[in-house]
Amino acid sequence: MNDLEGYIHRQFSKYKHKKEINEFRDEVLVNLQARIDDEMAQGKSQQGAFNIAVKSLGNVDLLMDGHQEVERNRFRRGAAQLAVLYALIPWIITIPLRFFHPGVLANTGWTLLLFIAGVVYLYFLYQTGSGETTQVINVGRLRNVTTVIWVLWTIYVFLSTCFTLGTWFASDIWFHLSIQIIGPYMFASFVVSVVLPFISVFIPLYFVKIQHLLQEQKGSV
Amino acid sequence: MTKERNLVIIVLLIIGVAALCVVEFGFKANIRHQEQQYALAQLNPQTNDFSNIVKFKNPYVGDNGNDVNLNANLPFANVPHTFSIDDTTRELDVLYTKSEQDLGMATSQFQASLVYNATANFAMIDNLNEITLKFPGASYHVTRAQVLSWYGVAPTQLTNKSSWKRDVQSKLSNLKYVSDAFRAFFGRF
Repeated sequence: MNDLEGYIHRQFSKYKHKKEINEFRDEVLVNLQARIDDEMAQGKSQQGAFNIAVKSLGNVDLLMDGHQEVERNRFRRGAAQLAVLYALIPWIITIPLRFFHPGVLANTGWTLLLFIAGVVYLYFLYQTGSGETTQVINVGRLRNVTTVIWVLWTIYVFLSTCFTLGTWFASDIWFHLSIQIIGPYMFASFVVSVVLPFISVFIPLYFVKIQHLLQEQKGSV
Repeated sequence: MTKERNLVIIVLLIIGVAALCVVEFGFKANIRHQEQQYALAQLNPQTNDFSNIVKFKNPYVGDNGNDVNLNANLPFANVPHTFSIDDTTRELDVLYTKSEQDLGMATSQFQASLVYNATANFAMIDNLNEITLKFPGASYHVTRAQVLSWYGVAPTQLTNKSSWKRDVQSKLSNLKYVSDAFRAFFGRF
């Protein structure tokens, strides 16, 4: 394996060895070799020709499908800002639920999340740009992560709802006690227990919004 | 877009903080205050909530958990106490750890509380024969027969809201009634 082959292998090492990626990698290798030969024919040294060819290749990630280059700080700022917004809304929604114990827990959790998101946002907001100014985002991978989060969220909501309904009503099966919701407070307490897990929908929605953010920033680099 | 979102964040943050203050320092503070008032009212025989004690109506004095819960909702509930049950005589002793002087209550209020607690225990525990309310330096003993004799009906017949209010609670505002009932119950002046 010569220097060029080694360089190309390193650049493609993070990608899976799929047939189309291997073909693409070989195509890049052939093109670069041709470029080196061409530069050397024009009198460049081997190292000089290699450097020119590698420079002309640019960022390999951007050549792959489903990748997008963004301004690093701007993207991070935007993502952190969205995190603040998407923690702020459920935080406000859960404030009236603080009359109930699960509501206090949920609201405290969102408060914590909001605080962390706020600190991160302020950090990025006042961070002065240094080093690498762009970043390549694997959009396809982000889409997959979002799908996984939606699946996990659906499972969580399903299990929570089953658990809540079970604890409220299924004891009737074992203990032969009739189902009783006495008074509006008890009814509200039941409704809060059922509704609370659904408020976490803002977590998968955040990841969807991040994809929109990428669309917004597309072509800005 | 960033500036608009920042504006939205600031507005939402203000709304959230205001809502949190209203909930925590307005509504919930008010609820806490009402709960404290309610808890205090339970220590007064005239304002003790009948619906809160009738939940502990039970046929047996041997149900220790029920005895504990019943007395935890009666006057003197705030005074640390333990129980002693004699199954053969079906007698319940409630042993309080503070004396009448330590409690700092007016004598009439103390006597009314004793009368009320004894009545409540006989009314709610069907097979209770005798009860002794013991304080350091003094103990107050009364039997079911004495209570029946005072009210003219079996104590268990007092366990509906209107009878309880009419025949037990409302009369305890009369100092002479309290004094007479105390004497009839515990044989003291």
